[in-house]
Amino acid sequence: MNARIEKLCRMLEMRTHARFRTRQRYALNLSRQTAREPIIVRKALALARQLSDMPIYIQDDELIVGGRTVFAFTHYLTAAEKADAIPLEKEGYDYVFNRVYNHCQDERGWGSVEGICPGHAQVLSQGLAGIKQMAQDRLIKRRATDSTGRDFYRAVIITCDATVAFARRYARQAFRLQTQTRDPRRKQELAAIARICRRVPEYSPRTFHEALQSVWFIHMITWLEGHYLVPLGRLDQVVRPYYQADRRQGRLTDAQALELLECLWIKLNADADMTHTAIPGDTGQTLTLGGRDAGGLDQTNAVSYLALQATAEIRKSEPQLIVRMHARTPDDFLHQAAALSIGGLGMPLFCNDDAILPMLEQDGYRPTDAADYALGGCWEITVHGKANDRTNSGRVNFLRALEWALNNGRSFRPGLARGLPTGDCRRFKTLAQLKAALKQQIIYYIDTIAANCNRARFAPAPFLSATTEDCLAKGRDLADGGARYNNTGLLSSGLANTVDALIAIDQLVYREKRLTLPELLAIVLKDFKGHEALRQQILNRLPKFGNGIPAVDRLANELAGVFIRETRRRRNQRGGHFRPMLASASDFVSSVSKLGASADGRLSGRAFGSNFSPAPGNDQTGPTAVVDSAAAVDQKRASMGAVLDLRFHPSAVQGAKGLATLATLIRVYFERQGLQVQFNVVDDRVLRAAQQNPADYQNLLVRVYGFSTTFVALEKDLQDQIIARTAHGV
Amino acid sequence: MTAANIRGMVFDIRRFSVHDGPGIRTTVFLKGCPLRCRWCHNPESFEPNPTLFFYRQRCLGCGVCVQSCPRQAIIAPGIISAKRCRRCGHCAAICPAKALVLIGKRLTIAAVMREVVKDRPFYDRSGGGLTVSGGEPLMQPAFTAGLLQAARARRIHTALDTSGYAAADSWQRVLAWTDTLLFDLKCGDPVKHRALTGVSNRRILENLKLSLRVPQLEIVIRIPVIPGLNDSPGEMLKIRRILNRLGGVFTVDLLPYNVLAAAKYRLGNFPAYALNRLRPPPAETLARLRRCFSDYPVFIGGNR
Repeated sequence: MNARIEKLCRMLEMRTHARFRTRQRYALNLSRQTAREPIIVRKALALARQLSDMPIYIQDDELIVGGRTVFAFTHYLTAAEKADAIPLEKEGYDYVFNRVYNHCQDERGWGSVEGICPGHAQVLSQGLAGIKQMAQDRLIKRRATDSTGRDFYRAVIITCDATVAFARRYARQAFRLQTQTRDPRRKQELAAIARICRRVPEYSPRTFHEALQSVWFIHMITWLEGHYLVPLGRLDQVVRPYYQADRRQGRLTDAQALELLECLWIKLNADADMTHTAIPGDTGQTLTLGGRDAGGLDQTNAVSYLALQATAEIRKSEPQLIVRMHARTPDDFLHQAAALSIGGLGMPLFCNDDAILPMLEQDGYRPTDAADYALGGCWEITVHGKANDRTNSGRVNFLRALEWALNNGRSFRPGLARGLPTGDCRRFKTLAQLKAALKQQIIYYIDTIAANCNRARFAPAPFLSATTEDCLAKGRDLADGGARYNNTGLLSSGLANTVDALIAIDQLVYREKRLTLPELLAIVLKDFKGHEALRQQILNRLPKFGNGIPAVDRLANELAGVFIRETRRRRNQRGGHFRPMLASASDFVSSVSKLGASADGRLSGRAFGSNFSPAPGNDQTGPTAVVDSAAAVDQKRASMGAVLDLRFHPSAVQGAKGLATLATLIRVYFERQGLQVQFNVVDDRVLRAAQQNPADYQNLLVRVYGFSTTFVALEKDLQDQIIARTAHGV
Repeated sequence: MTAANIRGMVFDIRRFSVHDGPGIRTTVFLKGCPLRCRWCHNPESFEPNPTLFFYRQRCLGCGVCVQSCPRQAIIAPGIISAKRCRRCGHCAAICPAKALVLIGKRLTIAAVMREVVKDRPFYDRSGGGLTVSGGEPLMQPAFTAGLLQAARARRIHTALDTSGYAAADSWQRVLAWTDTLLFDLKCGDPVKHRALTGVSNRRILENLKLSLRVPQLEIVIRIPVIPGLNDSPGEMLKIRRILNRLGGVFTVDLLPYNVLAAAKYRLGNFPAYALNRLRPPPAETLARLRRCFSDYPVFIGGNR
């Protein structure tokens, strides 16, 4: 890290950029004339208004410039539109079956397009001028026939113009500062910044620096348009040509390239707090590195390595690095990536190309598109610039389905949504009968959520659509089916605990016959009060998922299989289908207040396993056994992602051997067709000390469910859940 | 009786061992040890027979153990008559909270190998394999040799973690199936060695000499660094002189004293732990001691 980056990091920690922010909320002047405009045009005008009025700033030593200074979105809806709201369900129903419209809703409850990366490659290769030109050409052609297309292209042109004007504001600001500064070096830098901001994103960049500045403008304006979770896609692939050209011409050293990447990283961290998520750090600013092409050729390049190095030096949570791996990923790249995990950054999340590419093709993605996949907000497998996959539209909680199956369709806690009346649990004479009821409940759950997801409506996204190839070709907004792929993702949670609970029921009720199912149910409903010995017996003596026990792992595979199969069969309202995830998002902590105890010995109100990882503390046979269990769950069709969390004590992965050890675990898991894995390497004692003295641990990062974040910024229940996870190798 | 049916007394099989030899390994811990090193962190390995552990914090006080004991050896939860208890394990089998745990199981070689082969893909990628440790594995030479042989027959790398205290014929028999020898050297002086471990180091050094004749055997000298007992450069130089005299190819592991040892002594019927207030050696000490072995590759903590 050089002196400039050190200084910028200090400024970041002091949050010097925040003083330029304003609380003002801009409103579009809905004069009679504007009010008559179609909604998509008004949305574009609202963005343009924001871009022309929002405060701008350039701080000392910055090389990449720009930042969001307003958080609130510009109003653009008419009174009549505001009345066209999607009715909200009553609390119980809404909670269990999810707020499907997701975050970032407008006043009508219409969602934003989320988890989608703008088509940086498209913008870099054509420039916004090229995109605008294309829109104008189409506009002339379509004027007479297609009003939707006409509105769309008009909106595209408005956002392109507004963005170029916005960059010009920065060019003028840089020029102004340049005339004021006396430092000759900074004078030169500012002159360059002014030149760059006049060039991009209007035109195709000529240098690596211009490419990164263009990416940053497009990224921050995507946030401003009101999208939630904005990934960066495969940045190492997108900017590679500019890096290579600069290097060939001798215009750029690796140290300079690294410095520029670090400047971008600092920008990503500066605005990371401006997001609508409940959990700090859940920004969705993923950046996917490495991988292979459709023919199997490795795509890892110098920028991929520099990106890892930038994160290693800055040690901040943004961008959330993702590493695509395949059989021929270079070992030194894997080791450099593993060093980040071992260094306690909680990143990267590793993905298995060799399993994911065929899976996406099976799911209807063209081979070249599949090979170009990158992740959405956390782990969601999608193709940026091509797809509007509504990644996290709903969630199925296996533990709730089990409550319904045991309790004739009723949740354990009163006042919550019901499942199917599958009968009193006295009826279940065998485990098979109970499982049959559970499967019915899972299917009912999926049906209800899918129907709910299909009622969702989305606010237009003219700027994001302008960067998307297919939208431009079709003349359709992303929210209006403009993308090539329009699928919907369903999350799942509580798998491990549900499996453990079924195993406990099987053992106690059907094998040992120590008590009847209604008796056990009564004990669980009472939260095991007065039955601590039984609970301890369940916790300590019965087999659990995560220990490589074939019978248990088969059951996990069976339940996951029901969810995966049934989800994939369902169509969504946008011409696509549903894609399942063995990933929980925040559900493993956020839904616990609505769940009772479970037969695996988990008391009510306690968190369960994140993603499809073993329940916290239940994986007692070491990480290789966890890999056995996870690999026994067939993930070949869990097409939007399947995430395994592993936690290590730092002593288990020290030094050069530690790198090789972690690399081995990843390679073996991926050879066995595991999809995705991520690591926490942190000592319990450090986490507890951080809970006691948060001020001393401001820089301690942990992996939560799909992102890295500052440990001390988390709520206590999430902190406790991370401490409760087994730290392997103590 | 075929080799696979030979039984041994095993007190733990730990997958994902990364400190006992190269790569990712599975370590099989055998029970019984002729030494009584004052710092030992595995007191449950002392006796060749099963040992009963009692974890007081886990105990619910439910009393099922009192009723389950066929010899009325448990007077009340946690109060066990050492005289009457025959370590039959009835109480441990029934204790819901695992507060009572019977340490030590008689397992066949075949049963142990079923566990060991599970991690084969991890061994193959990381250069790991099987480590037989203890206790002192040479207390059960036929079982140890059988295990190592079975692993080698499956092309799994073998390591033996030993004090070197063994009869010469058992020693040679076991080494024939060993790829990496993790050889403990605690102290260079025979008299002091007896004071620290209960036995002289004469036979140990003879065995080390014998091991030099085994072809293609990698030898790692492991030295526990115990503050106040053997952490002086003088002690280390004595060990180095021994190594120099033997003239073999060695690498050296310096293993800093493990503080977690004391807690285990409270779980079973053991003599009081002698080193209660000991802290692990500071990094500077380890760095200084490392310099004593300048002619050998040295690793700290067994991480290689």
